[in-house]
Amino acid sequence: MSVETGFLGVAVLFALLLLRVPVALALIAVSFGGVALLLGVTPAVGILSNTPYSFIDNWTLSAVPMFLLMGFVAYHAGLTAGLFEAAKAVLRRIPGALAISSIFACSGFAAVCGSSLATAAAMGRIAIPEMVRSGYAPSFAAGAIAAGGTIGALIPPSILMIVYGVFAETSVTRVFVGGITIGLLTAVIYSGVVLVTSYLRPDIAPPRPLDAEGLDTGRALLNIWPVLLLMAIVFGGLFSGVFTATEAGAMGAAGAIVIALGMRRLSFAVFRRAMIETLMTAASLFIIGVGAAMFTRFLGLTGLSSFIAGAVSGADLGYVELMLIVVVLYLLLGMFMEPFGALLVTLPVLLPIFEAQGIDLVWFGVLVVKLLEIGMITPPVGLNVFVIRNVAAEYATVTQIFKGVTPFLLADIVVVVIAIAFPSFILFLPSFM
Amino acid sequence: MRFLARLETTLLSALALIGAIATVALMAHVVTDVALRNLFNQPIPATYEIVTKYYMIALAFIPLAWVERGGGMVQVEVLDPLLGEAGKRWADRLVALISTLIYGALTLVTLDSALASARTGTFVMAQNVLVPTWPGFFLLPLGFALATVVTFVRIFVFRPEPGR
Repeated sequence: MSVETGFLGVAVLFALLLLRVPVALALIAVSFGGVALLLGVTPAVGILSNTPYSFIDNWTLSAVPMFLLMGFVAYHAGLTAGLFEAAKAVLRRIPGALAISSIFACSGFAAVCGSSLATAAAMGRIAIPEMVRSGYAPSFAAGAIAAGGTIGALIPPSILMIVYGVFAETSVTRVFVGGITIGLLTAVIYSGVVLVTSYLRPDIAPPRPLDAEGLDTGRALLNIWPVLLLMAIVFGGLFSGVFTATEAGAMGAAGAIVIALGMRRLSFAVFRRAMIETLMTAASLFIIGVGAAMFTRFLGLTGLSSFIAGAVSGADLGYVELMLIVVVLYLLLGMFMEPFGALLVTLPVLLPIFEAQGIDLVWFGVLVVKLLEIGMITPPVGLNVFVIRNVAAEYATVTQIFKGVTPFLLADIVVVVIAIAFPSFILFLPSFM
Repeated sequence: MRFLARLETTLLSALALIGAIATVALMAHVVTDVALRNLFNQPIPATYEIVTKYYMIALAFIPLAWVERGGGMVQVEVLDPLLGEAGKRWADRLVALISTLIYGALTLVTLDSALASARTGTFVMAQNVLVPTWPGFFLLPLGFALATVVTFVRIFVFRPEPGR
């Protein structure tokens, strides 16, 4: 009986989402209606009045605004400006050096920023014009940065991973550390795509090494000290135990502000922009979290998740079939939904199933974040592509950028297959924590 | 009308300012706590409680109306190309109506529990420090009520989404 209510709830939820009701409010409305139907109005009112407070009243979650602030200050104050030059200096002899440098610059940016949109925007502004000037096809250049931006949410800090950790009740630090592996793996395989392209299609990715003139490797590396210092603050604190992952956010944000002030790069306008983006992102994300927390309680009452979990174990689905379903589900959702919505709509259903199957939730978190990030570059709604379109409007249309992204999407499939085939590869670093 | 529009902008910016103050306070408080704890073995009492029950609640709920007005709420835009301009406008009105009902309900129920905790004077004990928590409960109905006003206006007045 109540399982049917669960299915009905999911159906109504998707109907409301299609109507363009904000994800947060759709989750709240369905949960309220569903609980009222199952238990009556009084318990439903109880959930409606308790959940907003009890969800936000969470210490781990306080890292979200802090890491956002750190990333936006670093970005708007230009603390990360030297990354591209440094990557170029080190990698200049490799064919396709410019594109590969931009991908590794994205990885460096990812270490001070938890969001892939900011990473793509920051690197797109600097790298795309330069790549086009040196003979790259604009669509390939834009595609490389749109894809490279997704590394922003893989390498810690990562806002998606914090939110996952809160819902899965698993260690955010361990998911973070697992993210280092998949982030670097993604960067290496993306670089492979550039290498192969420069070999097969020299017309869209020129293979000749970079002009080394005027590139002083030592000085270029010295110029990224603000990034290295911020990384040292965040990771050093994490691994030495001087402060926790949650406190690392506040330390990083304060570090970024102090460094930017010291470099005289933090005007009031810069700080104001960083703050506005931090608040917009945090508040819109938190209210979705409130909705997802209510939805979790509603689904718990319906027994929908245990019903599906029973069906899954009854159907004797193997690991591969189960993973195939997960991959297809997230790729489909990722085509239309932004990652936080997709994550928080699905976790209430999926987490109990995976727990019942004995699947490692740290590994699952890393995989899900990777799948959600693929959704950032798949059409028709690929937010990284849209942001690249905004910062490099004169170079490529949305359609051209989606075309440029295609080889990197194929590379992503390789990364996902590796992650699924060898969970121990992702879990190797977290196992030391 | 223009005066009202300017008043609205000012009020919504004030909400964002409160959110910003809560964010900076959170940062400064945690950094100071980490420093004092590691340097002098003297953490600030009740840091955890003040962060979660005041700063977090304030920065999550007070700016909601400002986020709504600024087009920051996350939506799914699958059907947009099918709706056309007029269809989109009606869909927006319907969404505004649904949003108003939900924010309105949230305002009422959270106000009710805020009043209840004010009557009992809810507090928590952090080590040996008594931290009253009931004032924080009022931040929710405040944030939700302002969001209700913004979405209610949107039912009647069509306004193109401002860029972020």
